[in-house]
Amino acid sequence: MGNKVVYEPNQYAKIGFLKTMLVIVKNTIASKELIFQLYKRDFLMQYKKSFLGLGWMIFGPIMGVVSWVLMDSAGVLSPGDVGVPYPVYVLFGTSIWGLFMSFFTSTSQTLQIAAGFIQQVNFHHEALVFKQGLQNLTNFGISLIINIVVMLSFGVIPTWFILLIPLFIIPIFLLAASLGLMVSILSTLTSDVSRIASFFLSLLMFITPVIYDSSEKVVWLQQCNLYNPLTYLITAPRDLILTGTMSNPFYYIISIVMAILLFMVALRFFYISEKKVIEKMI
Amino acid sequence: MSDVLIKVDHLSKKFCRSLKRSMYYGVTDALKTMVGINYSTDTLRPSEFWSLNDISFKLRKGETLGILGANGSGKSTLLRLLAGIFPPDHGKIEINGNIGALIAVGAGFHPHMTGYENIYLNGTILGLTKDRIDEIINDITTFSEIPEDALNAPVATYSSGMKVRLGFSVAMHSEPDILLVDEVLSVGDIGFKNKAVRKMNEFREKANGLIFISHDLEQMRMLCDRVIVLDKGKCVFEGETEKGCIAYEEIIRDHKIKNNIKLKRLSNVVYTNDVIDLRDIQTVDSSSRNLSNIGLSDQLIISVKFKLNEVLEDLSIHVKIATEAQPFFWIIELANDYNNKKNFGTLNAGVYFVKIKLDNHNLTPGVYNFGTVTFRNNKTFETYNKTQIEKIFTVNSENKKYDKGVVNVNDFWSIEKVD
Repeated sequence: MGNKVVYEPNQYAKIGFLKTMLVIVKNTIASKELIFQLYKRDFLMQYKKSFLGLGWMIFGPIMGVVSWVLMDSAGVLSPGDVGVPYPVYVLFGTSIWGLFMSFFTSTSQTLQIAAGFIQQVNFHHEALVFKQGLQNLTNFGISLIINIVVMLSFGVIPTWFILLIPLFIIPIFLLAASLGLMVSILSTLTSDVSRIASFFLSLLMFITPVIYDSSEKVVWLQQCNLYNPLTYLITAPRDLILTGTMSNPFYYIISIVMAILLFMVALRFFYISEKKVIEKMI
Repeated sequence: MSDVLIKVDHLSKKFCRSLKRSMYYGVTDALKTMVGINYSTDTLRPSEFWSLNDISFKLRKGETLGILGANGSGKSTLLRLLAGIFPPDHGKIEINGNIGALIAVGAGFHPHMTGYENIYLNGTILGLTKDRIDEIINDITTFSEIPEDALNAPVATYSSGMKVRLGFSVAMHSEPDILLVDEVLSVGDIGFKNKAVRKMNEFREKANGLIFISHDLEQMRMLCDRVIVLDKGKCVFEGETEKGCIAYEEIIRDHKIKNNIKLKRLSNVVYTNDVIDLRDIQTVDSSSRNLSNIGLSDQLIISVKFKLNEVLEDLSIHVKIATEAQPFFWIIELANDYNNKKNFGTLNAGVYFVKIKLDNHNLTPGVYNFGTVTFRNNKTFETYNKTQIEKIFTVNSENKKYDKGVVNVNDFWSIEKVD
């Protein structure tokens, strides 16, 4: 029975930064069954009350692609010299952007999805963060397959970099989750935060060259693109997979490092504050 | 090796009453944390109050500790702090062993998932592994008394009783070293309640520790070795169960009396035709002094003061006494015809005191409330006056044993051998 636990004020702030990371890793591994159960609960249950059921997992992305095809045939997506058919370029870029957004949105609801039992049972809340990410990955995986089908139908063959997709996803998750975790804590306190955050994120989409090419735009926008780490995290995988080249490998590496550091800071903040804000979840 | 399972040391917890201030404190505290500034939680900021104030106690192996307190005394907060759901603001809690908290059953249940799926979900949330749940799934489903076809149906189709039984069943099998039970035993029908109590007794016999929170003094007496009594966040008693129950009753009584003093002037004339005015009704002692707290062995004397404005024959007086549970607990009828009781005769105008005297009142300890006093004509049933009174008197146990229920009767039985 040697299981001794102590509860005191401010105890989570007392342990060091690196030790926090180790504790979080340990807790996450210990909660792997819980992550799976919660994933099952929220993911599969989305589709329970529909006739199409799990069919929506495929049908949803297909509907998205159909709208792209329509826009393309109407000439809405303007041609540009990016080395691949523009519709494919935009589709792929926006899928990756969509993944970032979904990681952010779901992690910003980390505590909220467990509202109710989070105040009744004590369990490792880190499980909630990773379970959210897992749901988004599942959705992305399926739409990726559909995107590849579209790519092939346009005559574009993806490069071997496509096998590295899991690695490309990691820094995107880390950056999105850092912002999401901080929003999650603050939005249990006040609803202003989530509204401001969604506004901020839509701005972010404008200064990331996902649907446009940076080289033909005004200088201040180009500067934003240059200093925005998300630019590299999103465009590098897209360019590597579609064309096999990347514009700025050095800045890409820096963006990855920034994402990792920001994630660790966000985790630390989450770890210290989450118990204190739970009592305010009313 | 110490046998102390839980040690609570000068524990305090505060909350904020105002929503806007609570948000403000929450955001500033979170930002301070982000930047690395330490802040103290030892003092009260505006709008904050202590929900728990300087609580200390120990729970030893094999012990069952009861926590008694009125609503709002801090019991559920204490339970949540022990379960680790939120952090204390002052003091320390040390726990040796796993805690299972039955704060609300069915944590995490999803309405579209089946009974079986929810058992696995809830069990995992409570800390069981899938393999362990596989081993005990039959025990859980049998205990819950839910039929097989229901277990394969979504929980949304269950009655609320079934949901509770399912959640409770999973929680009872979650095998903690220390079990914290928060008033959940007040749900379910008698059969299920009995099962639950038996299961808790099994738990006690395995020499684990149990903390039990309830209002039900019966269950306290049955299950607990010791109790602590909380009043407005402070621990006002720690010791033997029986003494604790008495201390708890006194607190409830004191709260009511305090409220009663505020209400003393509240009498409401429902109907009058000005023949009679009710001046006062009061419990008194043998010297006619006001006495609102009567002992088990004292006389019960009720004094009714009224003013008669004209000559009256055939008066009857009805005094209604209520308890919290029963609004028509006792209706005392004076000067009625049946059973040939004496009557008031012809009364001239003036002010009168009527005394109702019982040498053995046979009432059990508790709080009693005068409801209405009605003055009627005994023959024609014409009502002269009906007045509502908000006034209480209490009966205390004088530390003696008494029967449970509404009536306390002593020495009423005999036994003789017939063969």
